[in-house]
Amino acid sequence: MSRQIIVGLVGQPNVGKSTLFNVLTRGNAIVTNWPGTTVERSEAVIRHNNSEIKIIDLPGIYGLSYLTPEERITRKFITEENPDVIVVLADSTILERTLYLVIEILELTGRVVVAVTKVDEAHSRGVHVNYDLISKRLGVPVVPVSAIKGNGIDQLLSSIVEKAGVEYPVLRVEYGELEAFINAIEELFAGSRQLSSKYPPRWLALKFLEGDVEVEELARRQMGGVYSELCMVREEAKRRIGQDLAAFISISRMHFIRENILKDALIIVPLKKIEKSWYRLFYNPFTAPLLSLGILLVVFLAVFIVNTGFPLTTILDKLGYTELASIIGEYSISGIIDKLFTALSNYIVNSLGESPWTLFLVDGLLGGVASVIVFIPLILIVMMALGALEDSGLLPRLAIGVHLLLNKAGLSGHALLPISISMGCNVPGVMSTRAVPSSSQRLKLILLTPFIPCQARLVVLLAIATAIGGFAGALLVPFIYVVSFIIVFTLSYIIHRLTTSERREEVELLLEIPPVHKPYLKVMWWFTWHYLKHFITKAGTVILIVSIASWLLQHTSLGFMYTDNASESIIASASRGLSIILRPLGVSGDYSWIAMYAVIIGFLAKELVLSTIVTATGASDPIEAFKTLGLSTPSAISLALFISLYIPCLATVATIHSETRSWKYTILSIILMLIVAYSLGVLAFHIANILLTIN
Amino acid sequence: METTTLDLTREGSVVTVLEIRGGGWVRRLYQMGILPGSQVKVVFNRGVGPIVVRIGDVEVSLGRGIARRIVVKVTQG
Repeated sequence: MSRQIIVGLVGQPNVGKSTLFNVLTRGNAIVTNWPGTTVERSEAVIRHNNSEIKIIDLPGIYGLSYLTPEERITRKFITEENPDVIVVLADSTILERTLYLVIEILELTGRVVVAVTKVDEAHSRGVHVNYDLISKRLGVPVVPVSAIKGNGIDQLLSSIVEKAGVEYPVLRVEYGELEAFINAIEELFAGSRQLSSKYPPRWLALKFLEGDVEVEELARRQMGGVYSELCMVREEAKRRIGQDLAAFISISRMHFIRENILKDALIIVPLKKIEKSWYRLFYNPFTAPLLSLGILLVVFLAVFIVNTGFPLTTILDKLGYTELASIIGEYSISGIIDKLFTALSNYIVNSLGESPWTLFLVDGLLGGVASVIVFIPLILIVMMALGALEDSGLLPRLAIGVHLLLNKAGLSGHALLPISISMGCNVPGVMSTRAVPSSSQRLKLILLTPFIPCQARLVVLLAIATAIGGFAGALLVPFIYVVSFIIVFTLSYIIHRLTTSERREEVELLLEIPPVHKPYLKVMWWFTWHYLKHFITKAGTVILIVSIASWLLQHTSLGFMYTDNASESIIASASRGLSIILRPLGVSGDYSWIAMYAVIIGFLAKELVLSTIVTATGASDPIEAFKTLGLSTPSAISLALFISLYIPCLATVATIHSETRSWKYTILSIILMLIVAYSLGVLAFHIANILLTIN
Repeated sequence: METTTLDLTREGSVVTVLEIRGGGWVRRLYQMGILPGSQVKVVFNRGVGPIVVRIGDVEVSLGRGIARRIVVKVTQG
C-alpha cells in the first residue's frame, strides 16, 4: 500500500470549510488543540481509491500575515509539517475576495489544490465561472464543489491523490514598480542556503518588504551582514513607491486577481431587478411586520391543510359541509399514510394469524416504523415551504420584517428560522439555532423552541379536538398554538430582562439580503434534506427504539410474563400509582390511569400518546378512545395543553444535549417545560370550567 | 464633511466607514465587507427598525444597536 497522504484544509472564515471537512471525513474527526494554543485542531483519516489520506482542518484565516495565532499555525503547518497537498478554499459567491488567500499561499508553495465552494449557490445568484481557465492561470487544479450536495467531492479527492508528491512551481504575481526591488532582495535571500531550502526566496522577499515579523527576525538572525543591505533596499523601495509597502503589495494582488486570473473567466448575469417599491415594503417599519406575518400565516395554513386538512376541515365542518371536510381530511397526507398502514397491518394479521409475534410485528415494529415514516412527509412539506421562502430570498426579508416585533420580546430577526422550522419538527429547529449569531440568544432559543407545537403534536391535538367536538373542539388547536407562542415570547422577555445589558445588546440583526428570484426546486430540496435528515437520523432512531421498547413494556406483566391486556402491564401499574398527579388537571375516574400512562409514553415521543390511549382503551380509533376516557371538556382541554407543552420529546432532549453539550442546560429545559405545562394546564382547567358552566 | 454614526445617516446617502466601536459584531461586519475605509450606500433608514445598506453588490440589514457603533463620514447626500 502506498504512503499516507497528508492534506491541510485552508480557507477564509465562512467559505464553507467546516462543511467541506465534515463531508470529506463523514464526521469522523479527532479534535485536539494546536500545540501551545487554544485553537482547535481537527483531523481525520479517510480512504480514496486505495490511498490513505489524512486531512487536517486548519483554522480560518484571511491571509498569511503572521499577526494572529491562526495565521501563525497555518504558516508553520505549511513550512514545517510538509503536507503533501494543501487544499485552499475559495467561495464562488465572493471569488474575488476569497482568491486572495489562494494567491498568498500559491506564492509560498505550489503543492495546492483549489476547491471552489458553494458553486450551486453562486449559480442561483447568476455567477458563472470558467474553472478550467482559472486552473490554467493559477497552474494548479481547481475543483468546483458543493459540499452540501456532495458534488465534486470525489473529484477533489482524486485531484488530491494525483497531486500528492508533485511539486508545481509557485505562482508569480506581477508587482509592477516594486519588481526591481523584489528581484534584488530575492537574490540576496537565494544566497542563504538555509533559508532558501525552506522558503521560496521570492516569497521571503515579499514578506520582508511587507514588514513581516517572522521573516524580519529570520533575516536578522541568519543573513548576518547582508541584513543591513536588505534594509537599505527596502528603504529605497519605500521612497520609490511612496506608500506603505504592505498596502501596495495587497493592492497589487487584488489587481492581479482581477486582471490576470478572473478576467474573462467570470461572468455575472445580473438577476432581474424587481421593483424597488415592492421589496421596500419589507423594510418599512409599519408595513413590514404586517406583510411578513401575513405571508407566514398563509404559508403555514397551506402547509397545515396539505398535511392534515386542518383548519379547512374544521371550518367546512362548522359550515355544514361535513362530507367535504371528511374527504379533505382523508386525502390529506396524514390521512393517506394512516390508511396505508392500516391496510398493511390488516394484511399482515390476516396472513400470519393473530399471535404475540404478529402483534409485536404489527403494533410494535410496524407501529414504530409508522410513527417515524408518518412524519417524514409532514416535515418535508414544512421544510419545502420554508426552503422556497429561503431560496427565493424572501426569508431574510421576512426576518427583517418581524425583527422589530421579535425585538420587543428580546429576540432578533435571526430567531425566525428556528421558530419556523420548529413548527415542522423541534429537532432540526434546535439545530438551526446554530445560524443565530449571538450565543446567548442561541441558548435562549434552544430553551424556548421546544414549546412550539411540531407536526407530531398537531396530529395528536387534532385527534383530541375531534373527540371533544363542538365549539370547544374547533377552537382547541388554534388556542394551543396561541398559548404556545405567548409562552415563547413571554419567557424570552423575562429572560431578556434578567440578562446583563451587555448580553441584551447582542440581540441585534446583521443579515445579508440576497436578491429575490424564483426558487429552484433543487435548492429547496437541499434545504429540506439538510433539516429532514436530522429528523430521520436522530428522531428516527430514538422514536423507533422507544416505540419498540414501549410496546414491550406495555405487554409485560408485573410477573415479567407476556400479556395482551395492557391494563396488567408494568407501565399500567405504575400509572395507577401516579395518576393522582393529573387530578388537578381534572383527569379523574376509572380510566385516569390511561391518561397518565399516555403521558409517560408521550415523554418518549408525543405521537405515541394517541396509539397508547387507543391500545389501552381497546378502542378502534383515537376519537373513540378519548371518549372512553370519559374526560369532561375542560379536563380534555387542559390535558391537551399539558401534553403539548410538558416536555421536549426524547429526540429533542438528545438534540438539546448534543447542541449545548451541557446536562445542566438539558435538565433545565425539561424542568422549565414541566413547570410551565403543569401550571398552565391547571389554570386552563379552571378557566374552561368557569367559561363552560356559564354557557 | 460631517462625522456621524450609521444609524443617524440619511436614506440615499453614501458614507465611508471610519471606525467600528467594539461590540461582538466587529468580525462579522468585516466579513460582510463593512470595515474602515469601505464605502456604503444607505438604502433604507426610517429612524425605526433595521437599517439596510449596500456594499458593492450585496445588501445587508443591520439592527440599530449595531449601526450606532459604526462611525462614518458622509461623502455624498
